Amino acid sequence: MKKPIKYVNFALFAISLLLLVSLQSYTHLSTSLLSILPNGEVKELIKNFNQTQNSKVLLLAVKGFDDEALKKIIKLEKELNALHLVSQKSMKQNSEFQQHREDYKLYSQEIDIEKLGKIDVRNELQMLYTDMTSSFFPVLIDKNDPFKILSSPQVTPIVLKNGHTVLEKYGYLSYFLLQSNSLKEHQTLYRQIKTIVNNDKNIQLFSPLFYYVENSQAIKSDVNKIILIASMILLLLYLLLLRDAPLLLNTLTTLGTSAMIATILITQLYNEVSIFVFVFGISISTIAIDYMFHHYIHDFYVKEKYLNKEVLFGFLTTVSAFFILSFTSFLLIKQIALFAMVSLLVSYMIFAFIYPKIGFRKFSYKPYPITHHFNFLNPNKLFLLSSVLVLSSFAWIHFDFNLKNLDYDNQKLKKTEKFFTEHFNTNKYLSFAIKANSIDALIENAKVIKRSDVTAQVPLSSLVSKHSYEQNKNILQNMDTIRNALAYEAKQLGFKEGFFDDAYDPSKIFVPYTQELVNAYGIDVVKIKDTYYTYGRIDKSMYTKIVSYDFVESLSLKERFEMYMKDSMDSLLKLGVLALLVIVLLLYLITKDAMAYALLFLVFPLSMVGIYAYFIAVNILHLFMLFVILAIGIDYAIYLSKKSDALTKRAISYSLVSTFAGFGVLIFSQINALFSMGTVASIGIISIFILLIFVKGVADES
Amino acid sequence: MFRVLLILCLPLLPVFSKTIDFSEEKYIEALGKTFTKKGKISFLKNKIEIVYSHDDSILTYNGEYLITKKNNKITKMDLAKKPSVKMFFLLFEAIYFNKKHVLQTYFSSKKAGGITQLVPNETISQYIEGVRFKKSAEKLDFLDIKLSNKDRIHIEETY
Repeated sequence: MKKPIKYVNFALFAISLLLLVSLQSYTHLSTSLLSILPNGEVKELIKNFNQTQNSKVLLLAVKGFDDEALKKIIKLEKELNALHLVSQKSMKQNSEFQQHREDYKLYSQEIDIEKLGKIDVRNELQMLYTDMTSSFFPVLIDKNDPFKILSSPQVTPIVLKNGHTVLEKYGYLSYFLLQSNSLKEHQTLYRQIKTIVNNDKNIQLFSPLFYYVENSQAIKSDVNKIILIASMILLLLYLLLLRDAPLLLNTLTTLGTSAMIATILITQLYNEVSIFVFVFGISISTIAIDYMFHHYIHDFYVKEKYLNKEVLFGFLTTVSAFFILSFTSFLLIKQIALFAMVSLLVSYMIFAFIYPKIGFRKFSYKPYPITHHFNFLNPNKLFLLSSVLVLSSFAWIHFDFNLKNLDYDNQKLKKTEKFFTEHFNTNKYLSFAIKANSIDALIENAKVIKRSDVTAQVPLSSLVSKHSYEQNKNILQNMDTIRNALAYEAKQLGFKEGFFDDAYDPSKIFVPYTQELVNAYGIDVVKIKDTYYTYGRIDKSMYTKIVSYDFVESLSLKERFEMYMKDSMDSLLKLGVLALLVIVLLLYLITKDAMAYALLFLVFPLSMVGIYAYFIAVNILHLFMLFVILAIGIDYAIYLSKKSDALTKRAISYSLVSTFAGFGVLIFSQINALFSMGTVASIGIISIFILLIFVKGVADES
Repeated sequence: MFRVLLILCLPLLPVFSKTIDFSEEKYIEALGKTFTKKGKISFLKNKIEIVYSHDDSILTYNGEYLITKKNNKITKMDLAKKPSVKMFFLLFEAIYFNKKHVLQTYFSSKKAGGITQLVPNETISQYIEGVRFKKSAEKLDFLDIKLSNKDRIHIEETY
């Protein structure tokens, strides 16, 4: 009977691994910050925007305006153009779009009524005639609008030197379009580009896509580093303190199983899961080690005892806190809470019910050769002091909800991006989206933006809306006198017969656009559910004005996250308070007389984090980690209030070291999100150590 | 000392400049007429200066601007905003100074009987339809430019 049960743990691991591989759950993990946002139109919109040409551009600049620099950039252009997913972006515009604009310009652009009223046909034509005949260079006449009464579209100046585009005051410049779509394609393309363009201080190379590749690489290598450090600490803990190889092997297997089952479940529920959920979830899994320690140290695995009440209460309290938090609408926290509940449940079941069946050798307790006891702190006084500190910290706590601050700080790439944005002066522009229920309404909305700010870059505004068509047609139909005068005076001055026949022609038919047609013109229009969206860019100073329109949507991840935070903050705070109340209630039921002592494990770590908050802006992950530390602290409070003996303290110490291996090591991370969790975890762990060593227990038997 | 240096440097100045006489025949489609003009083009360091006979206006192209001086009145055209004019001067400069990389950027070329034919790529095909030119011993025998609006320009270097 005993023999097969020994392998159940490994069998569970193997089945979980098989499921993980066959369901390809790991492919759902994403390093993109966007995966933190909830699924919906906004996320789709930002995703689509990231796929537009603006985000897929590659900029190459070679320093200097001499022949050598020119030859260098031409050579690089050839090599880059030879790549499968790279094409050079030239100054040419979509020819179909150009033709359409030319054909319908009288209906798409605004007519200057004031100028129209002052036209002197003969004088205007005479000036045209003089220009054409006296100029060395060719003079182009607009046959549709010879008197220039249409509002002329803003021309983006193109500076050329030796026929090549240049970045002013720096050197030659080339634009490319990248056609990679997946992270894998981005990575392959990135390697190919970097092979062609080596590190050269006279070359600047940038693409927004590089952030995906470089940040993803940095995050992955950072996560690997963290996992390595955590594994080493755990191994040391087991090898030096427990010295029980079968227990070590089984424990690692159980932790692996619980993390895999939680990953499988979460990736079945959600299509895209942030890697932060995964890392954080793995860390949470290690909390479960304390269940093993308490069972093991209190001989549950020798005597085949099954129900350690303290551990069960601790487990239930922690899971209750995560269960309450899982009702938040904040996707990241919801996913982490679900991950934690599943992984803790699996670990608890195995540690509490399978390990006693497997059986391990008895824990050999060797007391530390210390005669002096340090537990001189009065718990009531410390509770009072901590409570005062917690209340005071509300005076200085301030929050930072900029999601980008949680990402990997890619200084090198940010510097190159800054180089280009400063040269282009594009850092003063912000992107936005316009929405409407039909293409025609979308064009009309684009025109409203253009009227608000003529410098706004909204390609769709150059198309014809039903409204602009009818408005202009009305004006053109009333221009018979000018058209007749034009025909007469042109003939008098010597223009060819019929040359101005198309001028101010009111007979063009309105043709409504389809999404396919607009896309064929090279303008980005996407349909998400029943709404059409297009994109534009506007000067920062005008941004606040245009986002106040109800048809304008912000594309800023920071703004979106802040709005999302504001929406979910209320519910998160309510759920947090509810979780605390439940914890306090459970503590009262479990610890009764020792409740004040147990509450110290809540308030003291909270006060220490409150002091830390004086020096930093608190982010969402600090907050979440705080809840986790409190949940862990409560476990220990329950154990100690029930039995504050040396064995319990030893078990807690080991758990704390393993918790540090799980959470505390995140302090070594380069990624702010993980670092934030690591600092709060480390402060929490140190605080509990202080309580463990320096505070007098209620039933101190040690 | 400065004056001595200036005097010593004076003979070097012509190295940077060359002036040619030219004749220009321009057919304007809008008028259905051809106009002929003569003048001088000076290729100076980093600029081109054009002066027509019997005309007091001076045109100066410096790569970024086209400056017209007439009756002491100066007008400045930003060529970054006038791509068609910029293209015309780029072409003229590239042909005269054999700037092959500029021509390759915008045209494909073939040569037959000493005459080079340039076919514009999509980037500039909305302005220029085709170009023909012949050069011999650093002299521009002729340059024909057909524009997309059906205008035609014929320029010859004369003695």
